Amino acid sequence: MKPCKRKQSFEGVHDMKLLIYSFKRLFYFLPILLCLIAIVFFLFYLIPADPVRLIAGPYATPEQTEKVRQQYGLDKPLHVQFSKYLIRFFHGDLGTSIYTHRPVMEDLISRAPATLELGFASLMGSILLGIPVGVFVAIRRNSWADHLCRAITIGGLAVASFWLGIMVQLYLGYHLDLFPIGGRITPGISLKNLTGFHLIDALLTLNMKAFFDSLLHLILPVTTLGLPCFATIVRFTRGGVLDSLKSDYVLYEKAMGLSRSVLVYKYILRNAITAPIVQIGLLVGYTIAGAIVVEKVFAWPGVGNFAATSIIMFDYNAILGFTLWSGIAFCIGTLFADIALALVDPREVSR
Amino acid sequence: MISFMPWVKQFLRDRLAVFGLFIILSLIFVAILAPYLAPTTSIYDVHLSERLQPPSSTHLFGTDSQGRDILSRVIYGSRITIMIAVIAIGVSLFLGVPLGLFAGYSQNWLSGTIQRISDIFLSIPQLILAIAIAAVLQPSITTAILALSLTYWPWFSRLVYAQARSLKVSTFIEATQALGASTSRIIFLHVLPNVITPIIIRSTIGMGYTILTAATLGFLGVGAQPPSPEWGLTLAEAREFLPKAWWFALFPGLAIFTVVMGFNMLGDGFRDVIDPRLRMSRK
Amino acid sequence: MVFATSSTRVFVCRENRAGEQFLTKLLEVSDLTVNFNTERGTIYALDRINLALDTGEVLALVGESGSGKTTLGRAILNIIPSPAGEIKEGRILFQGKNILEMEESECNLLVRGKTITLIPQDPFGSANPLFTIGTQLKDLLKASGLHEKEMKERITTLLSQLQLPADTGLLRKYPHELSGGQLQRVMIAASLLPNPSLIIADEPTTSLDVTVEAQILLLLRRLVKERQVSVLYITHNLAVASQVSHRITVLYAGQVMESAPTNLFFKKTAHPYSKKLLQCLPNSKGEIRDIGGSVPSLIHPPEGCRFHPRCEEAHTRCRQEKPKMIELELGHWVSCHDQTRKKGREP
Repeated sequence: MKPCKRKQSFEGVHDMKLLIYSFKRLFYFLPILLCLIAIVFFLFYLIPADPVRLIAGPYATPEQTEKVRQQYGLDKPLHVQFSKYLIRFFHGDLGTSIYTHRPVMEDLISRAPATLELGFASLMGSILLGIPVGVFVAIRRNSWADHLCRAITIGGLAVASFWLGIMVQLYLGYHLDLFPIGGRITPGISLKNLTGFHLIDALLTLNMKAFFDSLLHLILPVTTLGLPCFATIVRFTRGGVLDSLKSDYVLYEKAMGLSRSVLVYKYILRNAITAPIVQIGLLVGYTIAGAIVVEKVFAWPGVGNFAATSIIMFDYNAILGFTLWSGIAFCIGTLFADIALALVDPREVSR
Repeated sequence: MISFMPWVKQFLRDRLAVFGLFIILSLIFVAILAPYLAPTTSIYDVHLSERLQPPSSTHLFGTDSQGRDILSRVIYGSRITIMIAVIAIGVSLFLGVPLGLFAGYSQNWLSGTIQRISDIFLSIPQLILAIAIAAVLQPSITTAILALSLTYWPWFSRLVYAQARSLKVSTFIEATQALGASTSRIIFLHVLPNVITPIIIRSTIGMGYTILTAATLGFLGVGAQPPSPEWGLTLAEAREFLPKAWWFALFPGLAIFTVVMGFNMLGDGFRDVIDPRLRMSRK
Repeated sequence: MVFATSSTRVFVCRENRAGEQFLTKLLEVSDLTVNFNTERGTIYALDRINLALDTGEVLALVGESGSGKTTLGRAILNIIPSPAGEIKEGRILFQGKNILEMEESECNLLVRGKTITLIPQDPFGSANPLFTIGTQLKDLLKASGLHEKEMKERITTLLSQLQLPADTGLLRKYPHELSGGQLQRVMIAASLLPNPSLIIADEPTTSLDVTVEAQILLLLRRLVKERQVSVLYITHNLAVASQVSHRITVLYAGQVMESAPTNLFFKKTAHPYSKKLLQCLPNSKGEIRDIGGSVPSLIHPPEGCRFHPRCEEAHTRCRQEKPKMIELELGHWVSCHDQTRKKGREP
C-alpha cells in the first residue's frame, strides 16, 4: 500500500509560519499598548491634587490655568478626555515635568541612552557569562562548582539591588578604591556625543581614555543590576542542560555515536537554552525596573534616576510618562524574546 | 486521604529547605516576641546626643541618625515585613485564585477578558506599576500593600487558569461529569486540590519577592514613611551618612537578604518535593 | 502451525538459516549480567544472558514489559547510564571484539552509529525537535568521512527507497511536521545510512497504527534481504516477531527462556513460558487464554528460574537453581529443568 503523495510543495513552510508568528505577536502588542495607556490614564485621574494645576504648573496664572483646562478638555466627559489623551500620546506629548519644566518625552529621550547602555551591558554580560557557567555546572553536577553556583544563584536572587549597590559602592568603590563610586564618566574627560552611548562614541572617536573611563564607571552598576539576571540565567541553563541530558533524543544521539563535541555544543546547548530565553524576556522587565534603584544609588544619569527623582518630587506627569515608557520597553523586550524562542524552537510557531 | 509523611521526610532531607524553614520560623518568632527581644521598645524616641554611634555593647547594631538603637528598629521592622508579605500575598490569592478558577473552568467571553486583563498587568514590570499606584495615592504602608496586591494577583490567576483549563479537558473530569457531579463539586473536590501545590510554591516565592519590592518602595519613598522602622526606608535614610556610618546600611540590608533567601530556599524545597509528582500528573 | 495475528492476517513461518555454520558469529553475548542501583534497592535487570546473532540474520527478542529487552539493547551499545547502571559481568563480542572492554572514544567513533545502529521506539521522542531532518541525518553521517555531495546523494537515494522523496522539502522539515509513519521511516533511513552490520530495532512499530506497522514490516524485510544486515528486533508482539525474524529468543524477567529458529519455535515450542505466550494469541478457533500471575519485581526476583512462580511444570529444583541452556535440536535452545529432564540430559 503506497502512502498517498501530497501534491503541494512543502518548501519553506516553516519559514512562512515564523513570519506569520512574528506579525501575530506584533499585532498583539497594539491592544496591550492601548490598555496600558488606559491604565495610566485611569491612574492619572486618581491623583488627589487638581490635575489642571499640575499640568499648568505651580506658577500659572488663572487665565493660563483656564486655557490649559480647555486645551486638555478637562471639563469634558471622560471618554472625550481619553481620546484626547490618546491623540496626545501618539503625538509624543506626555505632559510637562513639574520638576524640570521640560516635556516629559524630551526628558525620557535625552536620558534613554544612558539607561539602555546600562541595561544592555547588564543583560549581555549576564547572558555571556551565565550560559557557559550554567552548562559547566550542569555537566559537573554535584561538584564543588555546582554547590558554589547554587549558593550564588539563591543569594543573587535574594539580595536587594539597592543594598547590594550600596555595599559594593562602599567596599569596592570607597574603601578599596577599585572603581569609581558613581556617575557615568569622570568629569573633565571630554567625549563627543554622537549616539549617547559612551562606549560606542568613545570607540567611534577613537577616544581610548574616555572608553576605559566609561568602562570603569559601568562595572559596579552593571554588576549590581546584572547579578539577579546572571543568577536566573545560570539556574535555567543548568536546568535546561539537565533536562536535555535525561531526554530520549539525547539517548538516541548517544546511541548513534554522535561525537561529544557536536552533541554538547550543538544539540544539547540548543535544547537547553529554550528555558533561559523565556526568562530573558522577563529579565528585560526586571532590568527596566531595577534600573530605577541602581541608577539612584550610582547617580547614573538615566531614565531610572529621572523616575526616582520624580517620585520624591511627586512629579506625576513624569511618573506616569515613565510608567508608559517602561511598559512599552518591556513589551518590545518580550517580543524579541518570543521571536528568539521561535527561532530556536520550531514548535513554537505551530502552537 | 493523602498521606503527607513521605513528602515531609523527603523535605527534611533537603538541607537548604530546612535551613529556609528555620529562617522563616525565626522571623515569625522575632516578629511576635519583638517587645521582649529588642533591647528597647522606644524605637521612635529621638536621642540626638547618641546619634550615629558605631556598634558597641549597648547598641549591638549601632545607632541611626536620630540616635535610635538600630537593633531594636530592625527587630520591630520584622513585624512590618511579615505584615506586608502576608497581607499582600493574601489579597493576591483572594483575587487571583477565584478569577483564575472561573476563567479556566468556564469558557465564555468573560474568562477571555480576565485572561487578557491579567496579561496586561503582567506586561508592566511589577515594581513600576506598584510605584505608579503608590505614588498616585498617598504613599504609606497601606498603599504599598494595596499596590503590591494589585500587581501580584495575575501570577496566581495565570497559574490557576492553566491548571484549571488542562484539568477541565482531562478525561477524569469528563468521567466525573458523566457520573453527574455538579460543577462546584468538581471544582472543590478535584480541580482545587491539584491546583493547591503550585499555589503553595508560588506563594512562598512570592512572599520573598514581595518583601523585596516592598523594601524597594520604601527605599524610593513611596512605601513606608518615616518614622517607620521598615527596612527599605532605613536604607534610604542610611545613604546620606555613608561611608562613615556603615552599620546603618549594613544591618537592615542583611535582614532583608536573610529573610528573602529564607523564603526562596523554602520555596525551592517545596518545589523539589512536590514537583516530581506534578510532572507525573501533568503527563 | 497456523495462527491469527494482531492484524488478523494468517502467517506461515519462514525458513531458518540454522543449518549454515559460521566461524565467528557477528554478535555473541555471554553471561551478561546488568544491575541498576536505585534508592529503592538493586534492580537485577539481566541475569547471565546468552545470545548470538549471525550475519544477515534477524533475531527477534521477545518479552513482556520489564523483561529487560530494552536494557539488553542498550548494553550492546554500551550506553547504560553509568552511576546507576552497572554491568556486573559478561562479554559482548561484536565482530570478534568485546564492546564492554572498548575505550569509550573508540566505541563512539567506530561502533555506535557506524557498525551498530538503532531504530528507536518512539520517533517523536528520539528525533531532536529543534533541528531539521536534513541536519540530523547529515550529522549522523559526519563521521563516515564522506563529502557533502556524497552524503546528500546517499541520503536522497535511501529516502526514496523508503518512499520518502527528498525533493518535496523533507530534509528541511522538522520532526513534528511529519506523521508517525513518515518519521519512523526517516529513523529507519538513519539507521541504514552508515551501512551498518547490525541494527538494533527497539520496538519500532509499537507506537504506530496497524496499517502503518504492516508497511514498515514489509519494508524492513525487503531492506534486510537486499543489504544482508543483521537485526536484533526487540518486540513484545509474537505475531510481529513471526513476520520478520529468522530466530526468536524469549526473554522473561531478565533471563533467556528459549531461543529457536522461528518455524521451530512455533512448531515445537519447548519452554512453558513460550507455550503460554502462544496461548495468549487467539488460535484457529479464536480462543485466548492468559497466563496467571504477574511479572515479578526485579528488586527481589524469584530464585532459580525466574518463571517458576507462574509455571505449572515447576518443581523444587526450579526454585533453587537456574537451569542451564541445552540444545534440544540443531539451533533450538531452551533453559528449563523440566525440558532437560524430559530429554534425559541430566548430568
